[in-house]
Amino acid sequence: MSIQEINETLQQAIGQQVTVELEGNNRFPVLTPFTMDDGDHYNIVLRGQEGQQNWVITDEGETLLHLSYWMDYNSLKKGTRQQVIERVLGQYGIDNRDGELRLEIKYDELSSAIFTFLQALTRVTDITYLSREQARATFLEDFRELLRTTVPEERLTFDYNHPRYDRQRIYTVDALVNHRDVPLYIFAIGSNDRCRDVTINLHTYKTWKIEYQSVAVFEDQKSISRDVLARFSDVADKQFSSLVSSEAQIVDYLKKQLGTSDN
Amino acid sequence: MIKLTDEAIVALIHESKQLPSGYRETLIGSKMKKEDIHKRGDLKVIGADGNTFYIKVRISTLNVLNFSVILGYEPKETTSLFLLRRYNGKSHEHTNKIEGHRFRDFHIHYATERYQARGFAEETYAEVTTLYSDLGGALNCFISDCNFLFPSDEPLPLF
Repeated sequence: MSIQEINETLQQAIGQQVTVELEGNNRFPVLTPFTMDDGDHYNIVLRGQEGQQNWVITDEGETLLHLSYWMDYNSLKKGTRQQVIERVLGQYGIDNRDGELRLEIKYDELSSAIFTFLQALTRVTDITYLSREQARATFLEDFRELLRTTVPEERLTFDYNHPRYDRQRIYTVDALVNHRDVPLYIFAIGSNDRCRDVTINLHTYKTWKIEYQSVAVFEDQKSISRDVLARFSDVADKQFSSLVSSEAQIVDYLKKQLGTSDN
Repeated sequence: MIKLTDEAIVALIHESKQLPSGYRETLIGSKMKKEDIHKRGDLKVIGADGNTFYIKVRISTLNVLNFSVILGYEPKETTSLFLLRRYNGKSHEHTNKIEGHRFRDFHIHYATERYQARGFAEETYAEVTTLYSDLGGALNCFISDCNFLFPSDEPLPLF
């Protein structure tokens, strides 16, 4: 089989995988074989008028909307995830117009622009993996930022040590929320080792017979080994499985604990 | 990794779930919250067996066929949602990656053990449906399929 035959076979096969339909006025959905993790295909729509040079490729907001099935939508608009999305879109010249991803093109650029747009969408949806990998470096930073924006400054202390029982500063609480009947001891847990340390801390606090309510915010609870998590769960009060996907629930919980909830 | 077996998924779907008064306003009515070019409605519901469920509704303001009505289950030991069902519009194509079926129509996603075992998202399998053609119809279908009980002080919606 010659290289020319292979080329022709591939070009024909790939070409048949991409089709365009007409729906409504000057709206052309582009159907491609590329899918997200859940089997749903990327939504790509061409908008433009026959004979005109200026066209737009848009996802009609579907890509970021889709991510909101698994992640808090607001978490895509701040911190590391926002930076990653902005960088990807910037690299491909794509605008984010209130959640709609758009690429303005000349009609002559259509075929290459479709691939560019698809590649950008693929990288944006990879944010679900980035949230576990790239965001790791900023987990503690994100954790602290979330508390700073939710808890009044006068009620929040980072890196707290009990003044009577822990003068050597060994059993540190990542964040203390005070001025309530029972203080909240909040821990950021990003690894097995940290989970073991916090388990020991909680056991130690119990021996001190102090009153507190513990809250654990995991970077990704699924990454903690079963045995470590089981021992931790025996002594922990409230747990949130992921800072990224549970952000709205964490804020809601803290507001209720602070007595500042809207509900 | 298999988080829930098919039997556990069926049991959770069959668990009766009481809808609160005003659920429709919250989920698809005037109490929906706007986020950029999307609107969303969210409700937490405790089932008869004490399990925690979340209803999540999403719809695009650019394309009314781009919507989703989702039933999420929150296991007791975590806050990570397991998506049991998802009722989608027909704004996009879908492919069942194991069976190779590809379609563009209104469709319902089902959590399955076999897709979890292959490492896909639990609700990757989907089937075409003719039971609804808009968001309101999808919510009605969702309520009926997932064993939700209507609030006693509200009239039943007209199907």
